[in-house]
Amino acid sequence: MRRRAIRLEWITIGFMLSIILVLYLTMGNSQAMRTAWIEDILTLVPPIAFLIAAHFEVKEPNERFPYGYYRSVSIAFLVASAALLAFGGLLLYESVRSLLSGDHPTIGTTVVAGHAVWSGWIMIAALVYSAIPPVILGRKKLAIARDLHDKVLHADADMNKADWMTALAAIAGILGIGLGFWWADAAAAIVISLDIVHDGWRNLSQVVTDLMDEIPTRVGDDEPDPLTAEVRNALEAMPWIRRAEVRLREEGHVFTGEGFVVVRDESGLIDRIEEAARMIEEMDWRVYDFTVVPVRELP
Amino acid sequence: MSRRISLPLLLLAVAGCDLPRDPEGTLERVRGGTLRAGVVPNPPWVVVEAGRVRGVEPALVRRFARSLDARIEWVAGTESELLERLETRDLDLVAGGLTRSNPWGSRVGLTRPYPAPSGYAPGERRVLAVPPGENAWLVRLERFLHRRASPEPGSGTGVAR
Repeated sequence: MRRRAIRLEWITIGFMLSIILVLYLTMGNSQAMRTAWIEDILTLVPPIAFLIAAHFEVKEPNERFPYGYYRSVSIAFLVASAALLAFGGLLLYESVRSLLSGDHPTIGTTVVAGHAVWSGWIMIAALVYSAIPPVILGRKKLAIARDLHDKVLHADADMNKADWMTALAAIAGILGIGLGFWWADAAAAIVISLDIVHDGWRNLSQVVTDLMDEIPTRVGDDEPDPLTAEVRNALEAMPWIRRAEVRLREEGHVFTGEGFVVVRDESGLIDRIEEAARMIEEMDWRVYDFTVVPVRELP
Repeated sequence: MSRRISLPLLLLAVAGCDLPRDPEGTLERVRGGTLRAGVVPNPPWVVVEAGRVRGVEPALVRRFARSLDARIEWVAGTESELLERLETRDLDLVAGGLTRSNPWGSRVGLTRPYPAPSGYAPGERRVLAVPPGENAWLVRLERFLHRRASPEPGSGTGVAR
């Protein structure tokens, strides 16, 4: 599964590079197309972040980093979404400025097989190409992201899946130019940059809450993961435990945390505690490094 | 799934129309009317002498105007003066041996380089300037320059020397 995700991300990077090249060669004078082009460059960031994190997070904990490297995923995600937000804001400013100053985009002809063709058609063809591969890859990655509990992969897949809308907006902008509506181009660019800002903001708030040790949430929506309650119930189901309280946090795509337990019976406590921690870690592969702490009263 | 199919269909439907069009209607106004052409003296591309406009580019502009049944109103001036008037659509075209790297390129429209007529330094890549965003007008002019470039031996270059 992980190998498949890594392979899909490499394929994504390959396709995106080809799309970036094709759009660059045909770009011309359209603000909307330029914005779509920059968005496609930005969609390279999450796959790269994912691949870098995938390289680091498998490293074993060591003396310097006793909690391991799982948070590298969140850091990669933080950088990726901050970049998205910043560029989205910049592009939004540019497109609004271009609309307000009444820029009339100029698109001439390109010679194709001896005919002078309006370059707008070639730009539209390039944009149609740019819409198709990301949608297919996005759908594939979305399914894997849920199983891997990987939020970077999920955000990346979500962006890819929505990429056809960017292409469509840019096409609408160019057709608008063709129909003689000079403002259509800037308007389409504004729509695209708003989408980039939206992606960046959503991802950034997600990763910041993770780094703030929010309770584990499900991938894709913001609902609390039921695992916390399940772990507590499992602890309380043990005959030697009277009451239990659990706190978990996300580190990348694994959970760590503590269970505080009030015990009925202190005999053989050390063995029982080790046994309980092992049992909880076996409940779900995402639980990693769980500590059971005996207390007189629950915090 | 229907999205993937409907997009190419939409494109095909639109492809039949006569795109692009001019936001400000330059092509329609010039056809059968007046072409306001700015000329920047820059021999041999543009020569202005005793009120007479000659050179490689005026010859092109004359033939282009004839193809549109338009009279020409010549306006001589400096490059920055004329390009500024072009930007506000006070002129329809500026000739002056401009190159593609002209700093005004982002504020007015530049044609693709037209091929230098025989007798001039080969590889010289000069362009004409048009008002920004008047795409039908620009496409019409570029198609005219392109057709002229297609080798037709014996058809002459139309250069007034």
